[in-house]
Amino acid sequence: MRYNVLLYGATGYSGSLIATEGKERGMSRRDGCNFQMILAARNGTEVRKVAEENRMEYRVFGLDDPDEVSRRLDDIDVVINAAGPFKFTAECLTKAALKAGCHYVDINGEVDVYMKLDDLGWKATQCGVAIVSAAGDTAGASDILLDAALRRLLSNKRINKMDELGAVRIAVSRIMDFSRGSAETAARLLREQVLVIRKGRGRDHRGQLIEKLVKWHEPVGKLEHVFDFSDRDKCKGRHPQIASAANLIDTLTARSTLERHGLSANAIESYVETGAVGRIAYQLGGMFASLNILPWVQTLTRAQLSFLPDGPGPQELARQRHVVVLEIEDLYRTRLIDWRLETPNVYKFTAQLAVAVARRVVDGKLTGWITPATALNLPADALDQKDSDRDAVLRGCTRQERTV
Amino acid sequence: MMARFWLATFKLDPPTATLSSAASPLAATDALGWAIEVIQENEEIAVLFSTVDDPISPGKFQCRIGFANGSKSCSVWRDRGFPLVDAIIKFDHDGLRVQSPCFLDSSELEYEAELIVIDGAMLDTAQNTPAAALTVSYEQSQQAPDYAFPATWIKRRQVSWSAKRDNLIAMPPTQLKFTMKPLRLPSLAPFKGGPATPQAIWTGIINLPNWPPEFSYEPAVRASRVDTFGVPAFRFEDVEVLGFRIDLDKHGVGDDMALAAMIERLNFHLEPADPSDDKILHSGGTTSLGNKISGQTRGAMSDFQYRPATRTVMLELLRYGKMKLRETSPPLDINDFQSQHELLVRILVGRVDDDTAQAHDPATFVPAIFVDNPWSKVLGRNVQGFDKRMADFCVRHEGDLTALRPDGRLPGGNAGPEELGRITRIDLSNNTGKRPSGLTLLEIDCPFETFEGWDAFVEIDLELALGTTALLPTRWRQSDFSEGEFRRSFARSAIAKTLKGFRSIQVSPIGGPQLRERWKAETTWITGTFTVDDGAHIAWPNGIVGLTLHAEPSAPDAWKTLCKLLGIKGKNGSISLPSGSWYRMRCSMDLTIDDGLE
Repeated sequence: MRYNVLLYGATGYSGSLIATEGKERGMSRRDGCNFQMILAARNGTEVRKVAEENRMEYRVFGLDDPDEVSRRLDDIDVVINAAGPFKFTAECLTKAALKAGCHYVDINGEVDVYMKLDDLGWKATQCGVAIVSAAGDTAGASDILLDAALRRLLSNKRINKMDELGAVRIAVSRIMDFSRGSAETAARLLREQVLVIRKGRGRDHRGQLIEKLVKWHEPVGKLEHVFDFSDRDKCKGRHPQIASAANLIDTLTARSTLERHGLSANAIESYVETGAVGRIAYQLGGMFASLNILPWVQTLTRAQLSFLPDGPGPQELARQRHVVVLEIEDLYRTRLIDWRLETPNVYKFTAQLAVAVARRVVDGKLTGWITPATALNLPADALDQKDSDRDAVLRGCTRQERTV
Repeated sequence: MMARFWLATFKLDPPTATLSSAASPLAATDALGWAIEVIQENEEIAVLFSTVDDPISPGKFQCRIGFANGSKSCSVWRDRGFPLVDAIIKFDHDGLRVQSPCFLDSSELEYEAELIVIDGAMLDTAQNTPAAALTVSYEQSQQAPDYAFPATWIKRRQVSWSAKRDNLIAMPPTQLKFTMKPLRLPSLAPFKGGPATPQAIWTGIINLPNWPPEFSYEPAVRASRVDTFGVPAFRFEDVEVLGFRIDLDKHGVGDDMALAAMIERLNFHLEPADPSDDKILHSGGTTSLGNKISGQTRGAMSDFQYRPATRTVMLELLRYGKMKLRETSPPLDINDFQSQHELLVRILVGRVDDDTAQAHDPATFVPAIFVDNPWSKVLGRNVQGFDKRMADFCVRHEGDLTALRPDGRLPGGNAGPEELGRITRIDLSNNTGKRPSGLTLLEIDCPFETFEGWDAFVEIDLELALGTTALLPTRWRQSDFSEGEFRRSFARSAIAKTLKGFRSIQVSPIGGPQLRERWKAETTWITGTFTVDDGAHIAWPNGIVGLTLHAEPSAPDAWKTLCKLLGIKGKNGSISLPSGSWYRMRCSMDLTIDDGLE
């Protein structure tokens, strides 16, 4: 049985890296692997070029006509959406995938889009397909790390099901070279407030008030925390860096992962390493974020972003590393987990994740709204195995933990 | 429950239609025989038209269409997979008569036509002989909208019903005389007018089987909704509305939980995925620190819930002059139409997300609805998520209460439809042949002859209405919205949308608790859009209308909850609505049911 994986947005920076990853995983035309990657994009010339480079078939279509999109997905088992801005592509492609009965995976980093898609998770369950949004770095990486940490805590009996945790904090290191698409996403994510999860009160289906994890917003700059992003094998002592709370999907995937493990927390927050100067710029950005709705501001922003390169070059891709730090505290603020995951370059790791998740949702016949870690279902010690032994998705990743 | 039955099997010429469909349900070319079974329990009678595997020695029946005169039992039969329609049925020693609305030659539904008359000695026991055991089962299928694509597909689940039959008597197959009109819908072919001699006839006592039936282990299968129920796009012309705004702050007892309970089904998505989670939440189970926390709900949508947007609910009496399909669906085309009266309770709901200060997606939810057209009831219950019950809409005529026909005319009359305001009482239907039933739901005191401006309709400028909603307080007004989440933009959008075109949201499947439990995993929202044509007219007559609501024990729960909300503790209670709290509207509109993916 050969499964068809359609990559939409193959001509973009991340899309072309995913296509390359597909080729490396044997998903080209005559590779004999169970999965065949088919490329798709609006621009016929461009997609043909990428397809020839990777020895893959290709399709040319836009997303203006939902019925047409659905027809294009008829023989597809899973679609990977790498076409940003996801605000304009994700909903249409997800609905088309549901109609066509194929799984949907994307590398979205936009919180609003994520929350919109999660409404369709229920539909996905009913259609017998899976939706995995944000299956890229950083949400995918932090989700894998959190999943492994919770499994460890549960298996060591440090916590039990139905327990409440104090705080779950995820922090990501600064990205050195943004792709143009990521820069646009970052500009859109800049708000006056950031999304966090708090334990609050909500109503159940019978209208009764219960404790639940609810979304909450805090002003930009209000939440800051110090994390140690440094390589703990190479650096002695702590090397704290200031990080500011940010609108990251990681917060939402963390909530799903906690609930899946039957756990609750008083707070779930995601941070981005800012440093002393960066935090001022970030807070200023937050103050003026409301101006983003003005057309001339948007035009100006787009014009500035257009000067950016497509993304990091091959050398940066090979050289740069990215760090995700996870801290879990109990209700008495005792730190239970202080882990650090070092991944390859953000874009490279995103490509690894997207391809692995897409293959896994088809293989595992998964359904519903699931997070990347749920889709991958890695062994509990996957992060600690040698590269040669572990799943291809984790190649180049290193986990470190500080004794707590 | 014991009932008597009369069962006859026939070998008939196969019909010309190649496939069984909603229009020709008995036209299965692979059928070896056909059967008519009449089941009578006291005054309630059901007539089942089935295909049968062997007319001489039958083993398996499949009821393709049937009729029942018990309004409630008709719905119960349908829940169990028997596609029955409400009808007036007479059954005695001399024959069987079934009268139910049907399409003949005319484009208008005939409301008083006799579908089939069978004359002959049907229960003559003089020459009868005791018969050996008759072990037959009905192989039926329950159906409900597909939970992912409710406008495109329906789901069917096989059920098998086996009933024990006692006192079995085999009657000699004597010739029967069939009298039938040329039916377009529903077609009873291959049965046709003229003499017919059954292959075998049995009578006796049948022990009606209890729930649950034997469910097939096969998963539910998908079938095209269009093939079974037509295209889910409807056109309603000459619609007249007599609407009553019931402000529960003014007339009610302020029981917000009861109001929330009326829309509880809309929040089915918050029910725990695992029943044990429900126990944890509601039986005192707690977290390690003693707090109750929500577990995983179905899908990923625990972030929002539907809530009543206002404490003003609408009680509306409607007459649909012409209900049509917007696309041809043989044997009906876009010119064929039917009419009906409708009494409904309409609640404005909004979607409230965990993290937003404003509700959004205003829609109307109808928890209780009563109609007098059996085909509308079938469609509403089976595929549109409306829990429709049959009701008698009565006027005073020559001193007596008389139930109107669905087209607003008096029974047997050819004069024009009665004034809608003349309807003085609405009874929950009990036996289709005995109307009115006396199970009163609502009495309306609307002496419209004395009202100034009863017919002073003014055309609504729908575009203007969108801009200046204060001018058009038709259904809901800004002042009706007291909670923060529903004020301002939600209210503005809701007021405008509920006039020009409004979203409707219902939950499927409809049926008894056992059916709903069986289909729990497939519960779904049915969303639709009503779009009102330009040229809608509204009138605000001067006068006080009195409403007396009856907490009829056999009424649906939502109706009884409304009575409770109004503080009705005994059998009934009255409220008076001055000018401005009620209105008249005339319009035409379209309804489109969608899959929720548009």
